[in-house]
Amino acid sequence: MRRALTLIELLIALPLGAMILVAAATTLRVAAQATAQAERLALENRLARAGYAEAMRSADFWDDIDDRSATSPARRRLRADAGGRGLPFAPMRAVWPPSGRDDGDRENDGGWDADDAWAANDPRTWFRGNLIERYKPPAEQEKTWFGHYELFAHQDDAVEFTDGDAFGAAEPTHRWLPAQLDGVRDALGYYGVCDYLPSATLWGAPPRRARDGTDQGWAREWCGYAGYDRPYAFRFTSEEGGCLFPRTLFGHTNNTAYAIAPGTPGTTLATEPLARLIAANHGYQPVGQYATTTHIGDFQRATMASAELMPLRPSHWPRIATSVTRMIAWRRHIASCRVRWTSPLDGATRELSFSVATTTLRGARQQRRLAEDPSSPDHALDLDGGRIDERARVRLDLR
Amino acid sequence: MSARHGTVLIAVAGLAAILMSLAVAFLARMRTDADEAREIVADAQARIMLVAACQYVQETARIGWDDPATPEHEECCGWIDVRDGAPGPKTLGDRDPARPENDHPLDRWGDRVYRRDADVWPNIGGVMRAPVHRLHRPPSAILPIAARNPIVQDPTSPDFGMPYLRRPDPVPAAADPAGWQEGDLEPVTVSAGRSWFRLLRLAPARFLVTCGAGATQGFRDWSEVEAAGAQGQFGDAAAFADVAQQDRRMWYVIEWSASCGDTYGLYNNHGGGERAREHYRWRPFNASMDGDGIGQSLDRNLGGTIRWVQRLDAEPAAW
Repeated sequence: MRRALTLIELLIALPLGAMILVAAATTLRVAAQATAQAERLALENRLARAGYAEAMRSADFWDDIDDRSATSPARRRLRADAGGRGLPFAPMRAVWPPSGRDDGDRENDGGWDADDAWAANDPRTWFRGNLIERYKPPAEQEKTWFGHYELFAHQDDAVEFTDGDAFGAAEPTHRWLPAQLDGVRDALGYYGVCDYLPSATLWGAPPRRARDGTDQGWAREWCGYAGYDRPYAFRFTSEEGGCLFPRTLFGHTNNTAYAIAPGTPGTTLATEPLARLIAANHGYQPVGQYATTTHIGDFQRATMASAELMPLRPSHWPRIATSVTRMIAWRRHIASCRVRWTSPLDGATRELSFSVATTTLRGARQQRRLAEDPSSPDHALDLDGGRIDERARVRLDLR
Repeated sequence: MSARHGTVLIAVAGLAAILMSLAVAFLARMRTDADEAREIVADAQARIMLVAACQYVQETARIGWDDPATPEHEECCGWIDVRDGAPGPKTLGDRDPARPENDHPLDRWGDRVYRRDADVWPNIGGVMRAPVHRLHRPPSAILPIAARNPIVQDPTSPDFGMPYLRRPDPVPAAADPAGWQEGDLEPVTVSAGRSWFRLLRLAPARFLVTCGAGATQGFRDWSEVEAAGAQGQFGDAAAFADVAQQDRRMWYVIEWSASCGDTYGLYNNHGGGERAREHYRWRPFNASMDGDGIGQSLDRNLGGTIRWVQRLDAEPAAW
């Protein structure tokens, strides 16, 4: 015969049972939360990995700012030019016509052109002259101290030296150096000219026309004052250290940067006014010890081509964006990648940032074979379906 | 067995099946995540090899052709020789008067390092392969510590106040001078078989870089393994194919230049007497010092620079 529970047994069993039920319910709830949290973390991890891969792909192929597969020109805004100045992906001939490079005159050669590669012993790659002609404008200074560099490199056929020692008229011996400097600068912007020209370049050139509007005999854009808070004033020099004469790349990028600028805050590549794009890519950006937080913020917004990885996604997925900032600072080429994801639950943002050595601007232009003209320097390396074009094999004849 | 027992069995079996399926799903997810993470790690490892390859090209442009069997340390003058613009590397030997088409210096065997008539490295068309791993102790290694050389504080000591360097600084990683110089070149096991790079010289100063992460050590196919006599490392062709399939590979083209960057270049020390000529200072390219002193920050460049880098979309026919 079965015996029923006694009252005391019931009084003990019922609370215990209730406690077990509550504990079980709590455990299930916690387990469900933990599972959801784990799922969310796993999702974030997967998205972060996808973001890493996308950032690397952008760094390798530059499609974030010049989409090779796009049909819309809006995704290729950096191929434009205006007012005699081009953006980093502009066909070079648009601003710097090839006629000057193809006339058989070595003075018109493109030193960055593989079809006319500079030999390492070519004196044009080894110029080490002292470029200082004067520190102050002629009106304040009667002497030219170290001679006239313009005698050796000028873009004008004749130069009149009437100030200082009054040499009179002279015919400059060469014009390749200022032609390279001005030509590539105008065609591609400041990042582009630093990317293309040799690392030993001295950044400065005599003016194309008369001395008017120059500082110390140098074209004002290369060596004139800009003002530290006017980074978009068509001034190459940051005047760091008060040096207003041709300097090397480290001197120019010490505390400042030349960057690829695809946009400014509040705009997209498609809506950015062209003039502002030109100005941003023909200027320098303060990034060093003298830069304020405003400078840094402006720099980041102007140079980060942030792209959302999956605009169409489930609402409970994090929003994830990648960006690549390309700059030359302290003479180093830097591709700084960021992967940023924002939780839809609490709005918290996490970021993974890293830099990578990868395709340079010149390499990216070669990836696109930008020029329509096969003789263009942008066809220097034509890789088609993995086949190395024979033109890539620079002539082997001994010079 | 009663119906009650059957019910309990079904319930327990069902619960066990649910737990089992959850565990399997969890493990599968873990495995997938691990695989994806491994892909990312392999990608990063392969990318690091681009830097290693560029540094190799830069260093071997001028140095790196040393024959350890001889006391001489051969030095060259660039992938395009900076003396005459011809393809290098060529050593600094005597000139060959019997070759009027060029006056290239010869190496000590009477030949140039660069030979145009063979597709072997470093000739154009030649390939080199570089498995990259950590050595137990590189040659001439120093320890990442500072030597303690206290100044004697005993006034009665003849060395009182003297900052003598009684302990070597930096501290060598081996006590035996010969062993320290030779190093221990055995790879650290965990670092072996992970990364490699490979170079194909396309043109005098242009190289196709293959960056790899995986255990193939840069061998492209089994025939290369056989040619190198390295079958023992992989077993057979099928095993190598399995390993090769897991390799992460990417291809870049780079171009070397003899051009060297600057320290600081021109500098105008115009703090006082700005009209004094000596206040304009010329800091030479590639100098280890400038007017302010000597420092490691003013790094000298002995090997040129990489002018440009281009990632390739697809595997090229030759690499």
